[in-house]
Amino acid sequence: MAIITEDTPIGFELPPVARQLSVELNKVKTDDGEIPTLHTDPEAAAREGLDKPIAIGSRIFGVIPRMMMDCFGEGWIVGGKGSIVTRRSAAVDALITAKGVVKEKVPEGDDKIRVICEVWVETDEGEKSIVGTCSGLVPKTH
Amino acid sequence: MSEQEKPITPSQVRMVEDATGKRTLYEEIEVGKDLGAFDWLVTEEDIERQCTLDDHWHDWFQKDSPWGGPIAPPQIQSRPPRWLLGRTYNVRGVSYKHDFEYHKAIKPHQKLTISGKISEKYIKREREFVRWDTFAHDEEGDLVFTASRVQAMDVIKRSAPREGVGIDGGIKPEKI
Repeated sequence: MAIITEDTPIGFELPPVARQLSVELNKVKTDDGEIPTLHTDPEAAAREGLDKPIAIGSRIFGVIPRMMMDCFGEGWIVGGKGSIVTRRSAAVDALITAKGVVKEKVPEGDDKIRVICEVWVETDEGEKSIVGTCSGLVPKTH
Repeated sequence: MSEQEKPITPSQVRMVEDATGKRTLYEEIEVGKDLGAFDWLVTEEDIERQCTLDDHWHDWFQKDSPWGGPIAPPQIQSRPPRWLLGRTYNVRGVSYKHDFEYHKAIKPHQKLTISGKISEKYIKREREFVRWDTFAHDEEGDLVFTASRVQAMDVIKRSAPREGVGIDGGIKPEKI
């Protein structure tokens, strides 16, 4: 059952979702095997100006949909929206945590409310890798 | 210290080509260009792979859902826009912005038509950026998801010449 309802107050903190990334999760594989990328190969990363491989952006982002689905359920699967920015990269084996807070509630149609949340992904070093907003729909009952 | 132990120094030049071909230049990006379209058949393996990648094994992705049968994690739509760009332009760089909206649940064995266009290019903080908009329609013609993404074309500043040969490429395997 979705955690957030039309009665959820502004300022409500979304239950965070943490994930330990790994080198394996950042591998890019084809039918012919693994290919070297800036996410796993130090030389490939260096040629792109990086001092070490960095995590794939969608691996970092992946904790946000988990958090939003816990909060909105169906209202995330259909009607979920987001606008995110990657501020800094994360290590391929970083411990990352998605966090969020309810910022605004806006009626959408006659029977739904869009709940807009400020969201971000922190690394275990306390830095924000991804920041932005995501929103989901909740039923309007009163 | 052996060769393997020596620290690798980050490049000071941008790459002119890589394993997937010549890198696209900022000047070659055409705003408004139609990136074409391709069909993507969403398989059960794709869904399982996405669940593994995100460690998210919700019952809706494995068993049944309010939409009748299992559905895909909606973030599975993150990859096709990158494939679409790669069919026209070889842009490596790093992901910068991602705007998206989920309109319909995605089901296994569903065929989605992915299409899009280049919507913007700009220079900011001495880096070159390209934005492209992607649309996914199902076989009924309904919009399933939209995505507007911005890629920084290089980590290295644009004042650096393109002289090097990269290993990683902007053209990605079209797999989850």
